[in-house]
Parts: sequence; structure tokens; C-alpha cells
Amino acid sequence: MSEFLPDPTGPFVSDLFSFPAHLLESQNYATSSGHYVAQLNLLSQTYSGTRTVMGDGSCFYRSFLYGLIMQLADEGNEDERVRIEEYIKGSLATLTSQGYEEMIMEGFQEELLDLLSQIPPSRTSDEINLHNILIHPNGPSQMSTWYCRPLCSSYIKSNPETFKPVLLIDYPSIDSYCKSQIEPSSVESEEISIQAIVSAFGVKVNVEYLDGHDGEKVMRHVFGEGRIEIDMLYRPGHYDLLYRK
Amino acid sequence: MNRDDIYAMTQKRLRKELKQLEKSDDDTIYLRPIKVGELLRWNALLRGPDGSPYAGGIYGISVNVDSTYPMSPPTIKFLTKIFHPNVNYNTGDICLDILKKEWSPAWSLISACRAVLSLMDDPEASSPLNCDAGNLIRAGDMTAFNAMARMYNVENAREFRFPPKPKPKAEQPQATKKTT
Repeated sequence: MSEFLPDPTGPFVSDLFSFPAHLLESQNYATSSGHYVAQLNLLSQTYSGTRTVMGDGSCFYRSFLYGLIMQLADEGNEDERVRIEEYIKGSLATLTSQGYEEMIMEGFQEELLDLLSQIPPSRTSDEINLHNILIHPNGPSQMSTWYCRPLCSSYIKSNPETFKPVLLIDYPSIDSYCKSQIEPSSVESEEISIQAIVSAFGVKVNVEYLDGHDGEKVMRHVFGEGRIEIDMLYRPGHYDLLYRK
Repeated sequence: MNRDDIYAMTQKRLRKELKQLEKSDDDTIYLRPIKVGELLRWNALLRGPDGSPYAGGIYGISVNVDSTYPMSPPTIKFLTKIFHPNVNYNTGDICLDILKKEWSPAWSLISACRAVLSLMDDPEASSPLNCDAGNLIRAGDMTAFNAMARMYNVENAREFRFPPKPKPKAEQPQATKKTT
């Protein structure tokens, strides 16, 4: 299923492109045998924009953080911004109590708090500036993106009864799952880690599955609950951001 | 922001790691930058684990990072020649998952060194960089493997010494050992 490859070199998150025109142009969907074009047309009834995200194994976390931070800049989301900031401030103590080294984790937490502090009071005035901060290769977003991984592990460790039944089928312990399947920067997220991260942040993520299987419907998976909703497109192996009409 | 900023993050992290090392009284690993104030190139001394054929030897390793650390792993190589299935005898290259695809920035230089030390204690014969060593273990001939490893230990690993410990100040609180 890797015939449509994400870009491992481009910017962390692209400019806003028209959907689905951009994907039709940049990928070979038109000449593919699957029902991709039909599915993209179905999705275009709901979505009109997309941002493509770098394909380096962190695309889900990157899409998540980008979508979240941008929406925290929206007017009316001040409460959410305060809530998320409080959550991040408290996260270090939780991680430390779970055995993570404070000296190491605080460097990442500081970067994410720095990123949150750079959210302008209103997105309308400063959207481009915020976008540039988020995609800067040497800015705070790289370390902040990784920090989502231990936050994800931390949520799983704090709620073992939810995750144990699923995890212990394939992994000897929750700890070994987190160490090998969540924390390494090159490991893609999967349903368990997505479930954990949306619950940890209290945010809703809608994922449209572009799998080419059926030209008459597109599967949508909804993760978590919350006032902030982030829309994503999943093409097997990769996540991008979607924007509604 | 410019190119130096990621380096600033790297420096900040490495300075913290060094500070913690200077407080530690670990007598199995001695890890320091080669040159004072230059934090990208480090060396470490590892005490061969008791009960392994490397016991009694002291192994030098080089630990190098670039300005993408800690997002990418350090490059670690043996300086002392060692007979071990996961170490290339001539180049010192090490095959260890956490130094490659399982690296996460939650590891530090000292915890990476600890992982090398536990690899010495527990060789992984299925992914050999030294086929002779790997074959002996896979054939179940631990006597031969241990004899070879011990011979090279005596021959190569007697060169380095741990630096003398600073005199303990009266009644220091017991440091708790952390495993990451």
C-alpha cells in the first residue's frame, strides 16, 4: 500500500492547498486502479483544504500539534488554551512520578510551553507568523512534537485498565510497549497511541480513511471528545490535515 | 532563529547531562567530553561486567553527537578491541537497536552507555557484526566463545584505568541509581 508516498523532506507542514486538487496533482491517484478519485470526490463535499505533513514517522503527532496550536489561537478558545497550558505544566510531575528522568523531560516540556506562549491573542492577525514558528526546523515545534509521545505513554500508564487488555496480547508490559512503539521518534502512531493522545489532551480527532477500497463511501474514525476538533486524512501509512468548507 | 539555535538546544541538554555526571559516583562507567567545554565529542570507560568474559577489563568507547542530538542518537564505537558478536572487531561499530531505530530522546548519553554495557553482558547472536563470535554462540559453544572473548580481554582491555575517585565529603546522601 505504499504506492502513494508522503514527502520525507518537505516542510513540517505545508501551506494550505485546495482539496482535493492538490492531492490529485501531487499523487498518482488518477491513474491508480483503486477508487481513490471517487473517494476524494466524496470527501470534497465536506472538505475544501489540506495541509500535507512531513512523512518522517511523526506525521500524526505533527498534524495533531499543528491543528491544536492553530485552533488555540482562535477567538473563543481562550479557555481551551488555559486548560491545555495547565495540563502541560502539570505533565512533568506526572512523568517524573512514572520514572521518566526530570532532567531530560523538562527540556521538552519547556519547548512546548514556549510554543504555547507564542500563540497570538487572535489568529486572524498573526496566522502566518504562527505557521512559520510551527514549521521552523530549528524552532520549538520539533521537540514539542516529540514531547507528545511521552505524554501519550504517560496517559496509558495512568489508565492501565483501559489499555492493558489490548496491549498485553502483543507486548510483555505497558512499559515495553511505550518504549518500543511510542517513544522512538521514527515509530508511526497507531490506534492505541491516537486514542491515548486525544484523551490526554481532551481533544477530538476525525480521521478520514482514504483506502481506495470502496468508491461509494469513506470510513471516518472518530477519536476522543472535546471542543477542539482536528480533521485528518489518512492514506495508508500517512496522515495529513484537512480543512472543512 | 537560525542554524545555531538547534545547537543551543543540544548544548543545553548536554550541559545538563554533564552536570549530572559530575555528581554521579557510578563506578562502572566514566563518561566525559574529550575536551573541556566541547560537548559534541565524548569518551567513556566501561568496566567489563562481572560474570562476563570481559570481567577485569576496561573498555574505551567513543561517544559522538551532532547538532541534531537528542533527536538523533549518539554514534558509539568501541575503541578497545573486543570479541563480541554485535561489535565489529576492526572498526568497533556496534549493532544495538536503541542506537538506531529504537532511539528516543528519552535516552541520554549515560543510559546509552549503560545499554552498551548490558549488551556486553548479554550478547545478541542473531544479528552479528562479528560472525565468528556469533557462530560460536549460535552453535551453543559457550566455552569456546568465553575463552576467545577472555583472551582478547586480557590482550586488549588492560590499557585504561578509571580515574581515582575524588575523596568523599563527610556523609553524603546515598545516590539512588536510576535506570531509564
